[in-house]
Amino acid sequence: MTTEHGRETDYLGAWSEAQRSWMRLWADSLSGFSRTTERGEGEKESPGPWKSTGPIYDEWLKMSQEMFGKYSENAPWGIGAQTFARTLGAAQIHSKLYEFWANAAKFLSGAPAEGKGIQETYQEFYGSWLKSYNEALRGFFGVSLFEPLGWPGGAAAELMPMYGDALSKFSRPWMEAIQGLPQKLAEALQKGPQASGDVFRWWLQPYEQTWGRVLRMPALGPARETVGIAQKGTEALVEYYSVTTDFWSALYQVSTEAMQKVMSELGRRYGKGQAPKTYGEFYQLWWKTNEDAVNELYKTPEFSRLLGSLVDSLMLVRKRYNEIMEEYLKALPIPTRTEMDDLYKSLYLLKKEVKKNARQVSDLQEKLRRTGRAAGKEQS
Amino acid sequence: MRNPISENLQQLMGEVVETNRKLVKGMEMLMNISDLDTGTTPRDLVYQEDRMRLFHYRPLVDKPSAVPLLITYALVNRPYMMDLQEDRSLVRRLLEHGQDIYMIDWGYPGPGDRYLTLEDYIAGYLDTAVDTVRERSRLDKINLLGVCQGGTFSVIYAALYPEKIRNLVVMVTPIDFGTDDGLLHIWARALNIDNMVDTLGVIPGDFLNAGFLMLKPFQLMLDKYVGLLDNLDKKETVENFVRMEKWIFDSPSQAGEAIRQFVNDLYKKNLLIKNELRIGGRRVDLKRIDMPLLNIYAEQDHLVPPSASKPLNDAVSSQDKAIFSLRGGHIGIYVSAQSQKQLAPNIAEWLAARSQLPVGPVSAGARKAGSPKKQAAKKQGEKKQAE
Repeated sequence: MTTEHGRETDYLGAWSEAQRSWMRLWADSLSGFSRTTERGEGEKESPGPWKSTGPIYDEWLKMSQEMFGKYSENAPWGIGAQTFARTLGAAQIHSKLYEFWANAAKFLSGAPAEGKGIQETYQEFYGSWLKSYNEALRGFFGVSLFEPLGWPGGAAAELMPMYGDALSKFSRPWMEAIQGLPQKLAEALQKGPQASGDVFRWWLQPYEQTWGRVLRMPALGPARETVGIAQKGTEALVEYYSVTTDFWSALYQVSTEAMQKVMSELGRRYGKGQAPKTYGEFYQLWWKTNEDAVNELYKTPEFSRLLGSLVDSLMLVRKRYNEIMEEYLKALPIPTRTEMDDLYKSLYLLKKEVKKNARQVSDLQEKLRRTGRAAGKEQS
Repeated sequence: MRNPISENLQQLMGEVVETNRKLVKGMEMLMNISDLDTGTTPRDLVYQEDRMRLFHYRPLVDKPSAVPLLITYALVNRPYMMDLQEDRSLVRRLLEHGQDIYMIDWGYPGPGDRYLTLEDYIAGYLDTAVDTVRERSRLDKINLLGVCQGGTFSVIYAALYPEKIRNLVVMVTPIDFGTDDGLLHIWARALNIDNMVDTLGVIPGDFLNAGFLMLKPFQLMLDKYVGLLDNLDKKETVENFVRMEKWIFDSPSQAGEAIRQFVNDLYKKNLLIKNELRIGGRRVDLKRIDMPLLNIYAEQDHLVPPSASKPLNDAVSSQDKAIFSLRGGHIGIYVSAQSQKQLAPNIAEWLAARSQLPVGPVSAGARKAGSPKKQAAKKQGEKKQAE
């Protein structure tokens, strides 16, 4: 198949092959299922179907995503790629949730361990599952604010080495510490959402006491201006990371609590023999519980303040980024943003003046016409 | 305890196969969708100034209403939501019910538009559009219908220029911004819009969209697409979905100074309902609105809650005023089946009863209306252009 971009893709061939491999996997899985169902009544259930159902569903989704991914790249209209990227993103969450539901159903349908009630049983399961759930949430909530600003997502990361060069003499140890920070955050997420904020605050404290103070020192020497701008940029970026951590912590926290509610509800329904009969039922319970929980968080003044701080700190980073870019662009024969803004303002004011004058001329012409008509009547 | 998965493994596999079938069929169908038109009702461009364009829809009845209706939409998102597709078009339904319709398209502001103010939009472009319609219809007063933020603009306009508006209709329009019912109202108060405008100049539409999506994250960023997966083999459903998706993400940027004042004076200080808002040095007194008023809101609107819309009727001095609600949300009110059946007929009927013209000469004001703009339009090469 030839795409409009001239790329050759044997899309349907690849699809057929993927279909065949998926069908093979399915056949293998069902053979395991047959062996299980042939067991006599009362025999302990084999793990066969459980081992096979998750992978088969994942494989199928993976295959579908790959195929649709290829297709959306070559879609003949603009909206295809975006729509399908979102659709596939939703499918991934859907898949992770399915995995959760399958495992939860397996876990909760078994008899509670001796001495444990259903509540304790689900809490035990939930604890072990939390890590993967947080990973799913990261994928879901990870809407970048950089992209809508027309600012490449990597820009923040690019800023760090840029500032790092200017300040390498002082900041290298801390730049190295930053590299290890994601790992620390990942570890914290395993312990719980709130812990990630704790890690960052742990990092921020020595930073403020040492290099934070250095960054606020007045810069000296011929490169004083440039260094000063870089200092402000680094400070803004640190503040942005700090607020971002708190923001996501709040969302993770509430989503985790919502999941606990879902688990509690599941436990209650299982206890009454009213477990969801289909994955669709569970999915509805899950997303609506989460939406309600997030909505409650959104209504709080604390969240509004946090959101305001997040946007504000992002704007400050962007502002500093603009400043340093203008500093570097000064040497080139191209207009800067500030110069263009001055031009835009002059143009705006001139257009306004022209419109005002045109209106006045028109009013005067109308008055002249009326005066002429009145004079004509008097003469006649 | 019962384990639904082990009991229903075959059913589950059947579900997977069925979904797979839909995916394959959906792809075949998608390959046959070449392009999706929006805003298909025939119309002509009758005036253009900077980025603002004024369109006149070709009447669908022999004798349309003698008093034309000017529709003004929000700056956020595009006005073709009013004419999304043939069977989901408020514009088309109104035309079928005898209305003579004009509509403003604000266009896509660029970096050079950062200094445009609310005064430029309301006392400038909107006033010009009103005058152009008055001149074309040779009437002193025309009917004005404002939608969402366009409704707020229409209310401000009607308070500043009541002599030019015969009947005022507003839909899902925020007037009392002090409500706590909508998240936008709560969040906007915590937003440092000054910092945003000073930094960005023109606020990217996608940035605002990110905020709208955050309002209902699970529904708008997840469940909606899961629903699409379920319906991927239904051509009409997918086409409708993609068309709506196109509209949702077709978001113009916002002129900096205009959005600065909108957020600061309306969302934060709530000046409009207090009669303290100033546009170009003039105070906006809602009591100056004395023409018939029809206020329409959506009962489940999460962007403009009813509590933000309803207070308008108590704030104006109009004797003839009505309020009308529809079940549904902010968008559903334009495109839902109920909307297609109820909304347009109600608006058209209400307007028709108030648009009977007395017999008499056209005033000098109507003849003159728009003359300065006419000159400007000539300069810009006014052209009739079939859209």
